Amino acid sequence: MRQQPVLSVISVIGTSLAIFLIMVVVMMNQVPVAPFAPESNRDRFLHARYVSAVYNDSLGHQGETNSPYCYKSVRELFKSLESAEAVTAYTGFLQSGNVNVVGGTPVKVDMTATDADFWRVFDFRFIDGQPYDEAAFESGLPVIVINKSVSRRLFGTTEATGREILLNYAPYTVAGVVEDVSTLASKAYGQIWIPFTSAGLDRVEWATGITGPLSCTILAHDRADFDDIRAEYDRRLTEYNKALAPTHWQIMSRNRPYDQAKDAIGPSANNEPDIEAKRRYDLIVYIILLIVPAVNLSSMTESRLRQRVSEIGVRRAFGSTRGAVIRQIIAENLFVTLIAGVIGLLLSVVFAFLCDSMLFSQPFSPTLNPPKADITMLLRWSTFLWAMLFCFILNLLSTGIPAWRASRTSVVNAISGRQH
Amino acid sequence: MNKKLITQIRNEWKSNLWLAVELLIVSVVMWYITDYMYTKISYYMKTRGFDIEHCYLLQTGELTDKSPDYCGADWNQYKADKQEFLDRLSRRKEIEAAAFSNNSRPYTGSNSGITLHLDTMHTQGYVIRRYVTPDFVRVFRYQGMNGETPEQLAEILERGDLIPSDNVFKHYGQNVTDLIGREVYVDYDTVTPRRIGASLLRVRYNDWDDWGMDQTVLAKMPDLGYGNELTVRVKENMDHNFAENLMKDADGELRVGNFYISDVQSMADVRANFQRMSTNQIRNYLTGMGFLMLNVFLGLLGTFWFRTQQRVKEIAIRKVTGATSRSVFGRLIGEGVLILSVVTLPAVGLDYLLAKFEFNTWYGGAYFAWDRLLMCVAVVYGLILLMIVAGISIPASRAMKTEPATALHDE
Repeated sequence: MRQQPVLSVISVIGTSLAIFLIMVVVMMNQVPVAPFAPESNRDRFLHARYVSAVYNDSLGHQGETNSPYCYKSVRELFKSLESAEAVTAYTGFLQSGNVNVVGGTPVKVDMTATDADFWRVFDFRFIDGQPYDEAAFESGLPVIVINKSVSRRLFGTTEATGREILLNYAPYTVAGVVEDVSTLASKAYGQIWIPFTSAGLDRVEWATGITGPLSCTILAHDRADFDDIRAEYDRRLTEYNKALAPTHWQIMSRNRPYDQAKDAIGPSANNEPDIEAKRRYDLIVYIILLIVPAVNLSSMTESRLRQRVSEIGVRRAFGSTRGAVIRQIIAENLFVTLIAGVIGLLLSVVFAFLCDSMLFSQPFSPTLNPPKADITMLLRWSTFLWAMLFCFILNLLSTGIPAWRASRTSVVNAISGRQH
Repeated sequence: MNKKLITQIRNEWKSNLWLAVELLIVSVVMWYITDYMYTKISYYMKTRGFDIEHCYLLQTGELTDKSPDYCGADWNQYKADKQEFLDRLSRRKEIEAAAFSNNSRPYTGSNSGITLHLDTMHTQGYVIRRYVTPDFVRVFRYQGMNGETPEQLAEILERGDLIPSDNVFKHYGQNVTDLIGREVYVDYDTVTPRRIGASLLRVRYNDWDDWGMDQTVLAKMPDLGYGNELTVRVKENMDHNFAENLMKDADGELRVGNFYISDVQSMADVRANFQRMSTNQIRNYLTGMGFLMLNVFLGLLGTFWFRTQQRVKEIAIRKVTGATSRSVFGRLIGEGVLILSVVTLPAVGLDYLLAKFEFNTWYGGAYFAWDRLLMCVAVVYGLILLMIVAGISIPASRAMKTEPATALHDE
């Protein structure tokens, strides 16, 4: 390295830059699928954000609707799935709520209305109090869970259980206070949560018996159960469609429900997300981000090796095999690559932290509040493994051919200096 | 000179091959991104057909039976309250126009469809139904194909006429402008004819692409119950603190029956959120392009640094034999430019193939057009050229300063 400081510095910069950008892309792909509280069970989630239905009657009239579910369709299709551990329904589109204490100034907050199973499917951390239970949900009690920031703002403390607040001009009693949730937890996110029965949302139906304001998340015991759950869902769908026949509406499956990865790429209700296309696209991006710097670095590695031709010649003359020469060059270079890799990874994490609101901004975000990333989302063992893997690949790509060519140098020419 | 340059490139062919491979890949990827940007910028430059400046989206809510102020659920009262609510908003001194609409506002992701039938002609594809209260066209300043002002369009809607976009019968070669005054039937209704009151200047669905050919039909909503969006236009000099002032009255004057305002968002924020998928993609592609360019810069900097170091004696001899510093500099830059120019030929071939097999972006009915291809190739060539000049300049200027005496004295 010291022999060619400029080339070495450029190599390190080039490698760090490549690892930096690749890791930023890894994180951007990771944040929507990696588990973090309160969506720690993302690998066991199946989502049904929207329902799609077609209308066909004997007069030849046709129609189609794509929308969230009404509570009736959620109950019939999902709530009683026996193969699932738990199923929750909640408002898929956030609503804004005004909260205040009597006589205080209203504060605008993002509100999610849920059922009681919501608190089983998502793992919120309660600082105070507890979630509302099934009985409270069933009877539509005006109870509310608020996050730490809202609690502090309204009451100046996080111990607010039992206190009364006005939500949209109706009195609610605080059941519990939870840690703030990042908007990146796109299903569980909210600043306050209420039973949707308390706002009458269980009675809201847009297309009768089909659409309404609710989305669904199913928690499986294990990913291996996904097929069973989907099969059970398909049976229920067939049954429910029989019941819907007189209305001339039929629900289409669109292969729902989707796992976290598939759900995360498809904000549209009208199409099935194409996970294969997304994977192909990601692969091409990674290949380009690796190949271009690799070619670049190869050129510089080769330049460096040309100056060491006589050293390689001597080594070969003393019986070193070609394989040994290649291995040594790759290993030497790996050292440089790993140092650069660490720099790149550190830079990417710092960058992700500083620019999280820009980097992870969600398409069709339900809220104008910016996303906040934290360490558990960004730094995972898999992140390190990916970084290591990319370093190895980059090193192999950028050193492999130059090392192979250097090892083929004829000993006589190399030592005599006829080749350099 | 040129012959010498080519000989030199041949002599350095091993490291030049690396450069050429790199430039080839970078050129093709950058062409893909430039082509994408070309389409996006082209869409962005088109007229929107609406104006969101000084416009706001108001989120409204309705009291539930949990509230002591709840006024019951009578449907007629509900509609009367909604009308009064709209009227009170419209009367505010800072508000120019206020309207309820149903899946109609700019940058909404929710759509309702409609079909029109005129004699044997039927609309095709997805035509967006925009059910609005008449002042909607004043809020977003829609215009007619015949120069109708928003106020005139509002009157046309008020009397119950429809305003389709000019292109809804385009597949019959028929402009709606020529059908003004004709009667059409809506959806499956074969009993009640509706009159075409005007033809609407194209209203874009979003800024960055061409969703559904922007076919639409504007109509006065038959019933305020449809209203699920509330938008307002604020008078030009009255934007200051608009949201704060409005929210101050949210608890008083602006509460009618069960209605209340829960939030005020500027349409600019609404737009940014709605288009984030496109703007994120553009950001990612531009970053990727910057990364590739930086790689080219680093690659050339490294390779030529090494090369000028190796060739220091040769450069010194050339200087002794009369070469100026400038010609030394020019020779090095020329080497990079020549490699790029040679590589650009196969790159154009690859770009052409990618476009022919439709891997790039669809625009204006096609993936491929010669003028678009050549323009994008020229942009890419220019950008890489910049990097080449920047990357080689540093080692080249070092080489320029070579003092022949010192260099040749070396040993």
